[in-house]
Amino acid sequence: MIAEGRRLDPRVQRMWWTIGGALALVVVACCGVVLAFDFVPAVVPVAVAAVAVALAVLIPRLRYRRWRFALQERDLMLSKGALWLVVTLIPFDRIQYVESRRGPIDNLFGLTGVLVYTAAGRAGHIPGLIAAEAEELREELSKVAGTLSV
Amino acid sequence: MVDGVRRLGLGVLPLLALGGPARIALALLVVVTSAGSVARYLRFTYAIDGGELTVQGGVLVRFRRVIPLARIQSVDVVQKLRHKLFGVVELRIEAIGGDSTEANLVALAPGEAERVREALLARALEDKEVGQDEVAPPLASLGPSELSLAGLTGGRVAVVALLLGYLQEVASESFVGGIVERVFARGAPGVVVVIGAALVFILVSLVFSIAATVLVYWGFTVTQEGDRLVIVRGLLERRRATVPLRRIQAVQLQENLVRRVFGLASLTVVVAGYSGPKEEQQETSMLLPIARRAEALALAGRVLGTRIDLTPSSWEPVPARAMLRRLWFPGALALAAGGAATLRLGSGGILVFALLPAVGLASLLGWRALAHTVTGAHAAVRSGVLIGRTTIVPLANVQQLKLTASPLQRLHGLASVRLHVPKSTAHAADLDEARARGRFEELTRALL
Repeated sequence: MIAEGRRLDPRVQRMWWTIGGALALVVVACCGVVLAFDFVPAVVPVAVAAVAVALAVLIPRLRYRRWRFALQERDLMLSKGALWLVVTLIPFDRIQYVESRRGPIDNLFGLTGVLVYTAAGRAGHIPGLIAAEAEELREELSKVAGTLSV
Repeated sequence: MVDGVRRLGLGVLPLLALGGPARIALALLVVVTSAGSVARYLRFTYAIDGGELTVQGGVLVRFRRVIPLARIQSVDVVQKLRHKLFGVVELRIEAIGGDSTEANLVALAPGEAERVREALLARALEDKEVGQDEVAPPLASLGPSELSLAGLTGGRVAVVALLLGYLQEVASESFVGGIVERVFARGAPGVVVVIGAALVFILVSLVFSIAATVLVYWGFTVTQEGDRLVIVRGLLERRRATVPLRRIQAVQLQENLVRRVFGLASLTVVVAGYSGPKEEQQETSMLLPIARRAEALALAGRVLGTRIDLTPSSWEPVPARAMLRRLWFPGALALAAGGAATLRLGSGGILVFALLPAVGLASLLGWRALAHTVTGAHAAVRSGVLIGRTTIVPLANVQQLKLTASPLQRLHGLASVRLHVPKSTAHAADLDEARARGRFEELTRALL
Protein backbone atom coordinates (compact mmCIF):
# COMPACT_ATOMS: atom_id res chain seq x y z
CA MET A 1 0.00 0.00 0.00
CA ILE A 2 3.05 2.25 0.07
CA ALA A 3 4.76 2.61 -3.27
CA GLU A 4 8.22 3.88 -2.34
CA GLY A 5 10.90 1.84 -0.59
CA ARG A 6 13.37 -0.92 -1.36
CA ARG A 7 12.44 -4.17 -3.07
CA LEU A 8 13.51 -7.70 -2.33
CA ASP A 9 16.01 -9.52 -4.51
CA PRO A 10 14.19 -10.82 -7.60
CA ARG A 11 15.51 -14.33 -6.93
CA VAL A 12 13.10 -14.59 -4.01
CA GLN A 13 10.35 -15.21 -6.59
CA ARG A 14 12.06 -18.41 -7.68
CA MET A 15 12.23 -19.49 -4.04
CA TRP A 16 8.52 -18.85 -3.57
CA TRP A 17 7.70 -20.61 -6.83
CA THR A 18 9.66 -23.63 -5.65
CA ILE A 19 7.91 -23.75 -2.25
CA GLY A 20 4.49 -23.03 -3.75
CA GLY A 21 5.12 -25.55 -6.55
CA ALA A 22 5.95 -28.27 -4.02
CA LEU A 23 2.76 -27.53 -2.07
CA ALA A 24 0.69 -27.42 -5.27
CA LEU A 25 2.19 -30.77 -6.28
CA VAL A 26 1.01 -32.32 -3.01
CA VAL A 27 -2.48 -30.87 -3.53
CA VAL A 28 -2.59 -32.13 -7.15
CA ALA A 29 -1.47 -35.60 -6.02
CA CYS A 30 -4.24 -35.70 -3.38
CA CYS A 31 -6.76 -34.55 -6.00
CA GLY A 32 -5.52 -37.33 -8.29
CA VAL A 33 -6.18 -39.92 -5.58
CA VAL A 34 -9.67 -38.51 -4.96
CA LEU A 35 -10.35 -38.56 -8.71
CA ALA A 36 -9.17 -42.19 -8.96
CA PHE A 37 -11.44 -43.35 -6.14
CA ASP A 38 -14.41 -41.40 -7.47
CA PHE A 39 -15.80 -40.21 -4.07
CA VAL A 40 -17.21 -36.94 -5.40
CA PRO A 41 -18.12 -35.52 -8.80
CA ALA A 42 -14.95 -35.18 -10.89
CA VAL A 43 -15.40 -31.39 -11.11
CA VAL A 44 -14.43 -30.88 -7.46
CA PRO A 45 -10.88 -32.34 -7.43
CA VAL A 46 -10.12 -30.89 -10.86
CA ALA A 47 -11.22 -27.42 -9.73
CA VAL A 48 -9.22 -27.66 -6.49
CA ALA A 49 -6.10 -28.74 -8.36
CA ALA A 50 -6.52 -25.93 -10.89
CA VAL A 51 -6.89 -23.32 -8.12
CA ALA A 52 -3.82 -24.68 -6.32
CA VAL A 53 -1.69 -24.49 -9.46
CA ALA A 54 -2.97 -21.02 -10.34
CA LEU A 55 -2.18 -19.74 -6.84
CA ALA A 56 1.29 -21.31 -6.88
CA VAL A 57 2.03 -19.55 -10.16
CA LEU A 58 0.44 -16.15 -9.42
CA ILE A 59 1.09 -15.54 -5.74
CA PRO A 60 4.91 -15.24 -5.87
CA ARG A 61 4.66 -12.68 -8.65
CA LEU A 62 2.02 -10.60 -6.81
CA ARG A 63 3.94 -10.91 -3.59
CA TYR A 64 7.18 -9.75 -5.10
CA ARG A 65 5.55 -6.80 -6.80
CA ARG A 66 3.94 -5.67 -3.55
CA TRP A 67 6.92 -6.19 -1.21
CA ARG A 68 8.56 -2.90 -0.11
CA PHE A 69 10.60 -2.01 2.91
CA ALA A 70 11.96 1.32 3.94
CA LEU A 71 14.21 2.55 6.72
CA GLN A 72 12.70 5.93 7.42
CA GLU A 73 13.81 8.63 9.78
CA ARG A 74 12.60 6.96 12.98
CA ASP A 75 10.95 3.73 11.90
CA LEU A 76 11.06 0.67 9.71
CA MET A 77 8.11 0.33 7.35
CA LEU A 78 7.17 -2.93 5.64
CA SER A 79 4.47 -3.30 3.02
CA LYS A 80 3.58 -6.72 1.69
CA GLY A 81 0.88 -9.22 0.82
CA ALA A 82 -0.45 -10.82 -2.34
CA LEU A 83 -4.04 -11.30 -1.17
CA TRP A 84 -3.87 -10.19 2.46
CA LEU A 85 -2.24 -6.77 2.48
CA VAL A 86 -0.19 -5.81 5.52
CA VAL A 87 1.63 -2.57 6.25
CA THR A 88 3.81 -2.76 9.37
CA LEU A 89 5.36 0.15 11.19
CA ILE A 90 8.13 -0.58 13.71
CA PRO A 91 9.52 2.48 15.52
CA PHE A 92 13.30 2.11 15.95
CA ASP A 93 13.13 2.63 19.70
CA ARG A 94 10.81 -0.38 20.07
CA ILE A 95 13.23 -2.81 18.39
CA GLN A 96 14.64 -5.29 20.90
CA TYR A 97 16.94 -7.23 18.61
CA VAL A 98 17.54 -8.04 14.97
CA GLU A 99 18.70 -11.30 13.48
CA SER A 100 19.60 -12.54 10.04
CA ARG A 101 18.58 -16.06 9.12
CA ARG A 102 19.60 -18.37 6.33
CA GLY A 103 17.66 -21.62 6.20
CA PRO A 104 18.31 -24.61 3.91
CA ILE A 105 15.87 -23.35 1.27
CA ASP A 106 17.32 -19.83 1.47
CA ASN A 107 20.71 -21.43 0.91
CA LEU A 108 19.58 -23.07 -2.33
CA PHE A 109 18.85 -19.63 -3.76
CA GLY A 110 21.70 -17.79 -2.06
CA LEU A 111 19.35 -15.60 -0.03
CA THR A 112 19.21 -14.40 3.58
CA GLY A 113 16.31 -13.07 5.63
CA VAL A 114 16.28 -10.41 8.33
CA LEU A 115 13.99 -10.69 11.34
CA VAL A 116 13.07 -7.84 13.66
CA TYR A 117 11.82 -8.45 17.19
CA THR A 118 10.10 -6.08 19.61
CA ALA A 119 8.78 -6.68 23.11
CA ALA A 120 5.58 -7.88 21.44
CA GLY A 121 7.40 -10.70 19.62
CA ARG A 122 8.42 -10.97 15.99
CA ALA A 123 7.43 -7.71 14.35
CA GLY A 124 8.79 -8.18 10.85
CA HIS A 125 10.46 -10.66 8.54
CA ILE A 126 12.18 -9.42 5.42
CA PRO A 127 12.93 -12.50 3.31
CA GLY A 128 15.02 -12.81 0.20
CA LEU A 129 17.98 -10.45 0.44
CA ILE A 130 21.51 -11.01 -0.81
CA ALA A 131 23.71 -12.03 2.14
CA ALA A 132 25.80 -8.84 2.09
CA GLU A 133 22.70 -6.67 1.87
CA ALA A 134 21.04 -8.57 4.71
CA GLU A 135 24.05 -8.20 6.99
CA GLU A 136 24.23 -4.52 6.19
CA LEU A 137 20.53 -4.09 6.97
CA ARG A 138 20.90 -6.03 10.21
CA GLU A 139 23.85 -3.84 11.25
CA GLU A 140 21.97 -0.69 10.34
CA LEU A 141 18.87 -1.74 12.26
CA SER A 142 20.71 -2.84 15.37
CA LYS A 143 22.56 0.47 15.31
CA VAL A 144 19.38 2.52 15.30
CA ALA A 145 17.45 0.13 17.59
CA GLY A 146 16.84 1.67 20.98
CA THR A 147 18.85 4.78 20.21
CA LEU A 148 15.87 7.10 20.26
CA SER A 149 14.37 7.71 23.66
CA VAL A 150 10.62 7.90 24.06
CA MET B 1 8.22 -30.02 54.71
CA VAL B 2 4.63 -29.50 53.83
CA ASP B 3 5.39 -30.34 50.24
CA GLY B 4 7.22 -33.49 51.34
CA VAL B 5 4.34 -34.59 53.50
CA ARG B 6 1.95 -34.12 50.61
CA ARG B 7 4.13 -36.14 48.28
CA LEU B 8 4.33 -38.86 50.89
CA GLY B 9 0.56 -38.93 51.21
CA LEU B 10 0.19 -39.61 47.49
CA GLY B 11 2.67 -42.49 47.59
CA VAL B 12 1.09 -44.15 50.59
CA LEU B 13 -2.48 -44.31 49.37
CA PRO B 14 -2.17 -47.24 46.92
CA LEU B 15 0.09 -49.19 49.27
CA LEU B 16 -2.39 -49.08 52.12
CA ALA B 17 -4.64 -51.39 50.13
CA LEU B 18 -1.97 -54.12 50.02
CA GLY B 19 -0.73 -56.45 52.74
CA GLY B 20 2.37 -58.58 53.40
CA PRO B 21 5.61 -57.43 51.79
CA ALA B 22 3.94 -54.19 50.74
CA ARG B 23 3.78 -53.24 54.42
CA ILE B 24 7.55 -53.39 54.65
CA ALA B 25 7.88 -51.36 51.48
CA LEU B 26 5.46 -48.88 52.95
CA ALA B 27 7.46 -48.54 56.16
CA LEU B 28 10.65 -48.06 54.15
CA LEU B 29 9.01 -45.46 51.95
CA VAL B 30 7.74 -43.55 54.96
CA VAL B 31 11.21 -43.48 56.52
CA VAL B 32 13.00 -42.51 53.31
CA THR B 33 10.61 -39.77 52.26
CA SER B 34 10.36 -38.26 55.71
CA ALA B 35 14.12 -38.32 56.02
CA GLY B 36 14.33 -36.71 52.59
CA SER B 37 11.84 -34.03 53.61
CA VAL B 38 13.65 -33.30 56.84
CA ALA B 39 17.00 -33.16 55.04
CA ARG B 40 15.56 -30.85 52.40
CA TYR B 41 14.09 -28.66 55.11
CA LEU B 42 17.38 -28.52 57.01
CA ARG B 43 19.36 -27.76 53.87
CA PHE B 44 17.10 -25.05 52.51
CA THR B 45 18.15 -21.53 53.44
CA TYR B 46 17.49 -18.11 52.06
CA ALA B 47 19.05 -14.76 52.81
CA ILE B 48 18.58 -11.18 51.72
CA ASP B 49 21.85 -9.37 51.82
CA GLY B 50 23.61 -6.63 49.89
CA GLY B 51 20.77 -6.12 47.43
CA GLU B 52 20.53 -9.81 46.55
CA LEU B 53 18.31 -12.69 47.43
CA THR B 54 20.23 -15.94 47.84
CA VAL B 55 18.38 -19.24 47.91
CA GLN B 56 20.26 -22.47 48.45
CA GLY B 57 19.50 -26.05 49.34
CA GLY B 58 19.08 -29.47 47.81
CA VAL B 59 20.01 -32.89 49.12
CA LEU B 60 21.34 -34.92 46.22
CA VAL B 61 21.76 -32.02 43.85
CA ARG B 62 22.80 -28.85 45.61
CA PHE B 63 21.68 -25.53 44.21
CA ARG B 64 22.45 -21.94 44.96
CA ARG B 65 20.69 -19.15 43.19
CA VAL B 66 21.36 -15.44 43.53
CA ILE B 67 18.73 -12.98 42.35
CA PRO B 68 19.49 -9.23 42.39
CA LEU B 69 16.61 -7.43 44.13
CA ALA B 70 16.45 -4.91 41.31
CA ARG B 71 15.50 -7.75 38.93
CA ILE B 72 12.55 -8.90 41.01
CA GLN B 73 9.27 -8.28 39.25
CA SER B 74 6.70 -9.51 41.67
CA VAL B 75 6.31 -11.35 44.95
CA ASP B 76 3.12 -13.34 45.45
CA VAL B 77 1.90 -14.69 48.75
CA VAL B 78 -0.05 -17.92 48.27
CA GLN B 79 -1.88 -19.81 50.96
CA LYS B 80 -3.32 -23.08 49.77
CA LEU B 81 -5.38 -25.40 51.91
CA ARG B 82 -2.33 -27.43 52.91
CA HIS B 83 -0.57 -24.22 53.96
CA LYS B 84 -3.59 -23.26 56.04
CA LEU B 85 -3.45 -26.59 57.85
CA PHE B 86 0.03 -25.79 59.09
CA GLY B 87 -0.50 -22.04 59.47
CA VAL B 88 2.14 -21.06 56.92
CA VAL B 89 2.22 -19.27 53.57
CA GLU B 90 4.22 -19.67 50.37
CA LEU B 91 6.18 -16.84 48.74
CA ARG B 92 6.61 -16.95 44.97
CA ILE B 93 9.25 -14.65 43.58
CA GLU B 94 9.34 -13.70 39.91
CA ALA B 95 12.30 -12.03 38.23
CA ILE B 96 12.79 -10.61 34.74
CA GLY B 97 13.40 -13.31 32.16
CA GLY B 98 12.92 -17.03 32.56
CA ASP B 99 9.71 -18.95 32.12
CA SER B 100 9.30 -20.27 35.63
CA THR B 101 8.98 -18.83 39.09
CA GLU B 102 12.56 -17.95 40.01
CA ALA B 103 12.35 -18.73 43.70
CA ASN B 104 9.77 -20.50 45.81
CA LEU B 105 9.81 -20.20 49.57
CA VAL B 106 7.27 -22.97 50.11
CA ALA B 107 6.53 -22.47 53.81
CA LEU B 108 6.99 -19.35 55.89
CA ALA B 109 5.24 -18.07 58.97
CA PRO B 110 2.85 -15.29 57.83
CA GLY B 111 4.70 -12.55 59.78
CA GLU B 112 8.03 -13.68 58.37
CA ALA B 113 6.58 -13.81 54.84
CA GLU B 114 5.36 -10.24 55.14
CA ARG B 115 8.80 -9.10 56.37
CA VAL B 116 10.56 -10.88 53.49
CA ARG B 117 8.13 -9.46 50.98
CA GLU B 118 8.70 -5.92 52.21
CA ALA B 119 12.47 -6.43 52.14
CA LEU B 120 12.35 -7.82 48.60
CA LEU B 121 10.24 -4.94 47.40
CA ALA B 122 12.45 -2.36 49.10
CA ARG B 123 12.34 -0.11 46.06
CA ALA B 124 8.59 0.09 46.24
CA LEU B 125 8.86 0.87 49.93
CA GLU B 126 10.83 4.02 49.23
CA ASP B 127 7.80 5.36 47.42
CA LYS B 128 5.52 4.14 50.13
CA GLU B 129 7.28 5.84 53.01
CA VAL B 130 5.94 9.20 51.90
CA GLY B 131 2.41 8.30 52.84
CA GLN B 132 3.12 5.59 55.33
CA ASP B 133 1.23 7.08 58.26
CA GLU B 134 -2.07 6.75 56.41
CA VAL B 135 -2.91 3.31 55.08
CA ALA B 136 -4.07 3.64 51.50
CA PRO B 137 -7.74 2.74 51.15
CA PRO B 138 -8.35 -0.07 48.64
CA LEU B 139 -9.02 1.02 45.07
CA ALA B 140 -11.77 -1.55 44.96
CA SER B 141 -13.20 -4.25 47.19
CA LEU B 142 -16.06 -6.68 46.77
CA GLY B 143 -18.43 -8.06 49.40
CA PRO B 144 -20.32 -11.37 49.32
CA SER B 145 -23.40 -9.82 47.73
CA GLU B 146 -21.39 -8.36 44.86
CA LEU B 147 -19.61 -11.66 44.35
CA SER B 148 -22.94 -13.46 44.24
CA LEU B 149 -24.05 -10.99 41.62
CA ALA B 150 -20.88 -11.72 39.67
CA GLY B 151 -21.58 -15.45 39.84
CA LEU B 152 -25.22 -14.90 38.96
CA THR B 153 -24.31 -12.97 35.81
CA GLY B 154 -21.15 -14.94 34.99
CA GLY B 155 -20.21 -16.89 31.88
CA ARG B 156 -22.21 -20.08 32.35
CA VAL B 157 -25.40 -18.26 33.17
CA ALA B 158 -24.99 -16.01 30.17
CA VAL B 159 -24.78 -19.07 27.93
CA VAL B 160 -28.01 -20.51 29.35
CA ALA B 161 -29.82 -17.19 28.98
CA LEU B 162 -28.52 -16.88 25.44
CA LEU B 163 -29.73 -20.35 24.49
CA LEU B 164 -33.19 -19.64 25.90
CA GLY B 165 -33.34 -16.30 24.10
CA TYR B 166 -32.11 -17.85 20.87
CA LEU B 167 -34.67 -20.65 21.02
CA GLN B 168 -37.40 -18.08 21.46
CA GLU B 169 -36.04 -16.17 18.47
CA VAL B 170 -35.72 -19.10 16.09
CA ALA B 171 -38.42 -21.57 16.97
CA SER B 172 -41.69 -20.66 15.33
CA GLU B 173 -44.85 -21.00 17.39
CA SER B 174 -46.16 -23.96 15.41
CA PHE B 175 -42.84 -25.75 15.84
CA VAL B 176 -42.86 -25.26 19.59
CA GLY B 177 -46.58 -26.06 19.63
CA GLY B 178 -45.88 -29.38 17.91
CA ILE B 179 -43.38 -30.37 20.55
CA VAL B 180 -45.67 -29.28 23.35
CA GLU B 181 -48.51 -31.34 21.86
CA ARG B 182 -46.30 -34.38 21.59
CA VAL B 183 -45.22 -33.98 25.21
CA PHE B 184 -48.81 -33.56 26.33
CA ALA B 185 -49.75 -36.71 24.44
CA ARG B 186 -47.50 -38.60 26.84
CA GLY B 187 -49.59 -37.18 29.68
CA ALA B 188 -48.86 -34.87 32.58
CA PRO B 189 -45.72 -36.75 33.75
CA GLY B 190 -43.99 -35.92 30.45
CA VAL B 191 -44.56 -32.18 30.92
CA VAL B 192 -43.37 -32.29 34.50
CA VAL B 193 -40.19 -34.14 33.50
CA VAL B 194 -39.29 -31.68 30.73
CA ILE B 195 -39.95 -28.56 32.81
CA GLY B 196 -38.35 -30.10 35.87
CA ALA B 197 -35.19 -31.07 34.00
CA ALA B 198 -34.82 -27.57 32.56
CA LEU B 199 -35.35 -25.95 35.96
CA VAL B 200 -32.87 -28.25 37.68
CA PHE B 201 -30.29 -27.59 34.99
CA ILE B 202 -30.63 -23.83 35.35
CA LEU B 203 -30.65 -23.98 39.14
CA VAL B 204 -27.58 -26.21 39.33
CA SER B 205 -25.61 -24.06 36.91
CA LEU B 206 -26.57 -20.94 38.89
CA VAL B 207 -25.54 -22.42 42.23
CA PHE B 208 -22.32 -23.79 40.79
CA SER B 209 -21.41 -20.50 39.18
CA ILE B 210 -22.12 -18.48 42.32
CA ALA B 211 -20.23 -20.90 44.59
CA ALA B 212 -17.18 -20.95 42.31
CA THR B 213 -17.06 -17.17 42.03
CA VAL B 214 -17.50 -16.59 45.77
CA LEU B 215 -14.80 -19.14 46.66
CA VAL B 216 -12.24 -17.79 44.20
CA TYR B 217 -12.83 -14.09 44.81
CA TRP B 218 -13.79 -14.10 48.51
CA GLY B 219 -12.65 -10.89 50.24
CA PHE B 220 -11.43 -9.37 46.99
CA THR B 221 -9.52 -6.10 47.37
CA VAL B 222 -7.20 -4.13 45.09
CA THR B 223 -4.83 -1.71 46.82
CA GLN B 224 -2.16 0.55 45.44
CA GLU B 225 1.18 0.33 47.26
CA GLY B 226 3.63 2.76 45.75
CA ASP B 227 4.09 1.75 42.11
CA ARG B 228 2.45 -1.64 42.58
CA LEU B 229 -1.04 -3.01 42.76
CA VAL B 230 -1.76 -5.62 45.39
CA ILE B 231 -4.68 -7.94 44.73
CA VAL B 232 -5.88 -10.10 47.61
CA ARG B 233 -8.59 -12.74 47.21
CA GLY B 234 -9.72 -16.31 47.87
CA LEU B 235 -11.47 -18.28 50.59
CA LEU B 236 -9.87 -21.74 50.53
CA GLU B 237 -6.70 -20.43 48.99
CA ARG B 238 -5.78 -16.97 50.14
CA ARG B 239 -3.86 -15.30 47.34
CA ARG B 240 -1.98 -12.04 47.32
CA ALA B 241 -0.64 -10.95 43.96
CA THR B 242 1.60 -7.99 43.29
CA VAL B 243 1.49 -6.32 39.91
CA PRO B 244 3.96 -3.51 39.10
CA LEU B 245 1.98 -0.70 37.48
CA ARG B 246 4.57 -0.07 34.79
CA ARG B 247 4.27 -3.71 33.68
CA ILE B 248 0.60 -3.24 32.75
CA GLN B 249 0.36 -3.23 28.97
CA ALA B 250 -3.36 -2.94 28.38
CA VAL B 251 -6.67 -3.14 30.19
CA GLN B 252 -9.81 -4.82 28.95
CA LEU B 253 -13.38 -4.20 30.00
CA GLN B 254 -15.62 -7.22 29.47
CA GLU B 255 -19.40 -7.19 29.41
CA ASN B 256 -21.37 -10.32 28.63
CA LEU B 257 -24.98 -10.16 27.48
CA VAL B 258 -26.51 -10.39 30.94
CA ARG B 259 -24.12 -7.91 32.51
CA ARG B 260 -24.65 -5.39 29.74
CA VAL B 261 -28.37 -5.26 30.56
CA PHE B 262 -27.55 -4.28 34.16
CA GLY B 263 -24.70 -1.92 33.23
CA LEU B 264 -22.11 -4.19 34.83
CA ALA B 265 -18.64 -5.13 33.64
CA SER B 266 -15.44 -6.86 34.67
CA LEU B 267 -11.93 -5.54 34.20
CA THR B 268 -8.75 -7.47 33.35
CA VAL B 269 -5.20 -6.28 32.83
CA VAL B 270 -2.52 -7.61 30.50
CA VAL B 271 0.76 -7.82 32.40
CA ALA B 272 4.08 -8.46 30.65
CA GLY B 273 6.88 -10.51 32.14
CA TYR B 274 4.69 -12.52 34.42
CA SER B 275 5.03 -16.27 34.27
CA GLY B 276 3.36 -19.07 36.15
CA PRO B 277 0.70 -21.68 35.59
CA LYS B 278 -1.72 -20.66 32.89
CA GLU B 279 -4.83 -20.49 35.04
CA GLU B 280 -3.05 -18.45 37.70
CA GLN B 281 -1.89 -15.98 35.11
CA GLN B 282 -5.43 -15.43 34.03
CA GLU B 283 -6.71 -14.98 37.55
CA THR B 284 -3.92 -12.64 38.45
CA SER B 285 -4.83 -10.47 35.53
CA MET B 286 -8.41 -10.09 36.84
CA LEU B 287 -8.49 -6.62 38.30
CA LEU B 288 -12.18 -6.39 39.11
CA PRO B 289 -14.56 -9.36 38.76
CA ILE B 290 -17.64 -7.15 38.71
CA ALA B 291 -18.56 -3.48 39.06
CA ARG B 292 -20.72 -0.80 37.55
CA ARG B 293 -19.32 0.08 34.15
CA ALA B 294 -18.36 3.60 35.23
CA GLU B 295 -16.52 2.32 38.31
CA ALA B 296 -14.61 -0.22 36.24
CA LEU B 297 -13.60 2.52 33.79
CA ALA B 298 -12.52 4.77 36.66
CA LEU B 299 -10.30 1.98 38.01
CA ALA B 300 -8.89 1.43 34.51
CA GLY B 301 -8.01 5.11 34.47
CA ARG B 302 -6.33 4.89 37.88
CA VAL B 303 -4.27 1.93 36.74
CA LEU B 304 -3.19 3.59 33.50
CA GLY B 305 -2.58 6.91 35.23
CA THR B 306 -5.12 9.01 33.35
CA ARG B 307 -8.80 9.68 33.20
CA ILE B 308 -10.48 7.64 30.51
CA ASP B 309 -13.41 9.24 28.78
CA LEU B 310 -15.36 6.62 26.93
CA THR B 311 -18.73 8.24 26.53
CA PRO B 312 -20.89 6.81 23.76
CA SER B 313 -20.18 9.91 21.67
CA SER B 314 -16.42 9.42 21.74
CA TRP B 315 -16.68 6.09 19.88
CA GLU B 316 -16.36 6.09 16.14
CA PRO B 317 -18.50 3.43 14.46
CA VAL B 318 -17.45 1.53 11.33
CA PRO B 319 -19.30 1.72 7.99
CA ALA B 320 -22.31 -0.54 7.40
CA ARG B 321 -20.34 -2.37 4.69
CA ALA B 322 -18.60 -4.13 7.57
CA MET B 323 -21.87 -5.93 8.21
CA LEU B 324 -21.88 -7.28 4.64
CA ARG B 325 -18.28 -8.43 5.07
CA ARG B 326 -19.34 -10.39 8.14
CA LEU B 327 -22.24 -11.97 6.25
CA TRP B 328 -20.21 -13.79 3.58
CA PHE B 329 -18.83 -16.88 5.30
CA PRO B 330 -21.59 -17.74 7.77
CA GLY B 331 -24.20 -16.85 5.14
CA ALA B 332 -22.63 -19.17 2.57
CA LEU B 333 -22.34 -21.90 5.20
CA ALA B 334 -25.99 -21.54 6.22
CA LEU B 335 -27.11 -21.61 2.58
CA ALA B 336 -25.00 -24.69 1.87
CA ALA B 337 -26.25 -26.46 4.99
CA GLY B 338 -29.86 -25.59 4.13
CA GLY B 339 -29.41 -26.74 0.55
CA ALA B 340 -27.79 -30.01 1.56
CA ALA B 341 -30.44 -30.69 4.22
CA THR B 342 -33.26 -30.00 1.76
CA LEU B 343 -31.72 -32.35 -0.82
CA ARG B 344 -31.23 -35.14 1.70
CA LEU B 345 -34.25 -34.80 3.98
CA GLY B 346 -36.83 -33.32 1.64
CA SER B 347 -39.11 -30.54 2.82
CA GLY B 348 -38.13 -31.03 6.48
CA GLY B 349 -34.64 -29.84 5.58
CA ILE B 350 -35.98 -26.40 4.70
CA LEU B 351 -36.08 -25.76 8.45
CA VAL B 352 -32.29 -25.45 8.34
CA PHE B 353 -32.72 -22.22 6.37
CA ALA B 354 -33.98 -20.81 9.69
CA LEU B 355 -30.26 -20.34 10.36
CA LEU B 356 -30.20 -17.50 7.83
CA PRO B 357 -32.01 -14.88 9.96
CA ALA B 358 -29.78 -15.88 12.88
CA VAL B 359 -26.70 -15.35 10.72
CA GLY B 360 -28.04 -11.97 9.65
CA LEU B 361 -28.74 -10.98 13.23
CA ALA B 362 -25.26 -12.11 14.32
CA SER B 363 -23.55 -10.02 11.64
CA LEU B 364 -25.75 -7.02 12.45
CA LEU B 365 -24.90 -7.24 16.15
CA GLY B 366 -21.24 -7.95 15.38
CA TRP B 367 -21.10 -4.85 13.21
CA ARG B 368 -22.80 -2.66 15.81
CA ALA B 369 -20.32 -3.80 18.47
CA LEU B 370 -17.33 -2.57 16.44
CA ALA B 371 -15.93 0.84 17.31
CA HIS B 372 -12.62 2.57 17.87
CA THR B 373 -11.27 5.79 19.31
CA VAL B 374 -8.01 7.53 20.14
CA THR B 375 -8.11 9.72 23.23
CA GLY B 376 -4.90 11.53 24.02
CA ALA B 377 -2.33 8.95 25.00
CA HIS B 378 -4.65 5.95 24.63
CA ALA B 379 -6.33 4.00 21.89
CA ALA B 380 -9.46 1.98 22.58
CA VAL B 381 -11.22 -0.61 20.46
CA ARG B 382 -14.50 -2.39 21.03
CA SER B 383 -15.90 -5.63 19.62
CA GLY B 384 -17.81 -8.78 20.47
CA VAL B 385 -21.47 -9.73 20.69
CA LEU B 386 -21.72 -12.43 23.35
CA ILE B 387 -18.94 -10.85 25.37
CA GLY B 388 -18.41 -7.20 24.57
CA ARG B 389 -14.70 -6.42 24.93
CA THR B 390 -13.31 -2.92 25.22
CA THR B 391 -9.51 -2.91 25.05
CA ILE B 392 -7.65 0.21 26.13
CA VAL B 393 -4.00 0.48 25.14
CA PRO B 394 -1.59 3.23 26.22
CA LEU B 395 0.16 4.34 23.02
CA ALA B 396 3.50 4.27 24.88
CA ASN B 397 3.18 0.48 25.09
CA VAL B 398 2.54 -0.07 21.38
CA GLN B 399 5.48 -1.96 19.87
CA GLN B 400 4.42 -2.21 16.27
CA LEU B 401 1.52 -1.00 14.23
CA LYS B 402 -0.19 -2.82 11.38
CA LEU B 403 -2.61 -1.82 8.67
CA THR B 404 -4.16 -4.92 7.13
CA ALA B 405 -6.75 -5.74 4.49
CA SER B 406 -8.04 -9.20 3.63
CA PRO B 407 -9.42 -9.96 0.16
CA LEU B 408 -13.01 -9.65 1.44
CA GLN B 409 -12.19 -6.39 3.17
CA ARG B 410 -10.69 -5.03 -0.04
CA LEU B 411 -13.82 -6.05 -1.91
CA HIS B 412 -15.83 -3.83 0.44
CA GLY B 413 -13.22 -1.07 0.72
CA LEU B 414 -12.41 -1.86 4.34
CA ALA B 415 -9.21 -2.28 6.35
CA SER B 416 -8.10 -3.02 9.89
CA VAL B 417 -5.61 -1.38 12.23
CA ARG B 418 -3.78 -3.54 14.76
CA LEU B 419 -1.85 -2.22 17.75
CA HIS B 420 0.59 -4.80 19.10
CA VAL B 421 1.55 -4.51 22.75
CA PRO B 422 3.51 -7.19 24.62
CA LYS B 423 1.27 -10.25 25.09
CA SER B 424 -1.78 -8.70 23.45
CA THR B 425 -3.11 -6.97 20.35
CA ALA B 426 -5.83 -4.36 20.03
CA HIS B 427 -7.60 -4.93 16.74
CA ALA B 428 -9.72 -2.19 15.23
CA ALA B 429 -11.55 -4.15 12.54
CA ASP B 430 -13.33 -3.11 9.35
CA LEU B 431 -12.72 0.62 9.20
CA ASP B 432 -13.35 2.45 5.96
CA GLU B 433 -10.13 2.06 3.97
CA ALA B 434 -9.27 5.76 3.86
CA ARG B 435 -10.20 6.18 7.52
CA ALA B 436 -7.99 3.22 8.46
CA ARG B 437 -5.08 4.85 6.68
CA GLY B 438 -5.87 8.09 8.50
CA ARG B 439 -5.88 6.31 11.86
CA PHE B 440 -2.65 4.54 10.95
CA GLU B 441 -0.95 7.84 10.15
CA GLU B 442 -2.36 9.48 13.26
CA LEU B 443 -1.02 6.64 15.41
CA THR B 444 2.31 6.72 13.56
CA ARG B 445 2.72 10.37 14.49
CA ALA B 446 1.82 9.60 18.10
CA LEU B 447 4.36 6.75 18.28
CA LEU B 448 7.33 8.47 16.70
